[in-house]
Amino acid sequence: MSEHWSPLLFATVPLTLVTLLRPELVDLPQAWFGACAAWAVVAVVRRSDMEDHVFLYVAWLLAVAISLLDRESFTETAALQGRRLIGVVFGLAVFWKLFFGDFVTGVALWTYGALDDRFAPLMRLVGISPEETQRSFESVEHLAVGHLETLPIEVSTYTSLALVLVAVGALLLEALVAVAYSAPDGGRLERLRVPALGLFGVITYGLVPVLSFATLLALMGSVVARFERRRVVVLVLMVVAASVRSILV
Amino acid sequence: MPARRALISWLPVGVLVAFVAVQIFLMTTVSADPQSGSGFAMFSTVDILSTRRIVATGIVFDEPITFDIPDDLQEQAMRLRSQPTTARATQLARELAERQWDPVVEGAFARPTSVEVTVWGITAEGRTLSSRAMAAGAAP
Repeated sequence: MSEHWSPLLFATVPLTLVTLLRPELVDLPQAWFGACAAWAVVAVVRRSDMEDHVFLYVAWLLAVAISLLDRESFTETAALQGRRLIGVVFGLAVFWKLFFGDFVTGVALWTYGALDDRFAPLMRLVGISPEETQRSFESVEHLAVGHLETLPIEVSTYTSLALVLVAVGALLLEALVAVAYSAPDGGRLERLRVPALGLFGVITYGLVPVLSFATLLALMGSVVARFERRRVVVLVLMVVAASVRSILV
Repeated sequence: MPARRALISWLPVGVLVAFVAVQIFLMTTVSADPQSGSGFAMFSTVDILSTRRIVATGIVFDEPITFDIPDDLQEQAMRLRSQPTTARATQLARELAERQWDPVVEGAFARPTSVEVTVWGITAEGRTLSSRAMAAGAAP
């Protein structure tokens, strides 16, 4: 799930090493504009080799570069940029889930569960046994190659309800993150940002370990939280959850 | 100057939205996989790359055959699944038609007299999944 065009490492690793040797370079907006341009060009040219976290990363590099234009207000500007980007990304995630309609009915989760081993814990939680999952896998495979025209999803009432509850719960959590980060600083919603993002991350990345996205969101979330230690710890937890799950999968 | 500052300040969001717009364009024009690229539509729908399949069939030695996609055509096949179009399906059919296959007799190779490539996907209507042919191409 964490794919980007690997030759980009050859541009990024030397740049990282240079900044380790000369940390003052990190303060130069030009360095960030340059990194952003390199990733942006490759993201456009090799679009199909990139996953969505790369596009968010490009926007974030640009955000840091712009924030560095005025060093006095860097922390506040970078926090504002991070807030906006997280709000937009989660807003989009909610939009698509409502737009397609397959998610809120639980059908999308059932289908992923049939095809993707990483969803095995979720399948067990909603009352689908490994044997049933195997049968679902075979049915979906037949459907996917056109050997079946239709496949009615036949599950127990408990499973059906549980799938909808999980889906709606996940959707509400994403919506809460979108709203909390879109809302201005200083209000009640600000206090919900880190708990909502952290809970989303631990649950989602604890199930499907998208480590790259978890790390990027944790970094941006930490900037928005002005690196307040208690909040950063919560965000680091979602990276830990993704890492542990990556090892276990 | 404040207007210029505000404009620059919104640039990162603008870039992100531009990436999303490209993805929406590809989704509507070439049925691009909603989950890949820059749409931020992870886990939103059943029609994703991993539920799309390529079925390649043809005739060799007057026998019907289902072709396994060779390793060196896997990347091309992946792109076809990611953005299923008639042109890409036809191109893959041509590539398969130019190769020698031995469906019946070990060691007796021949080019197919015809190849059909179909990309199948699934859709959901309520609690029922359906299969649909997303793109197809043939050669020669």
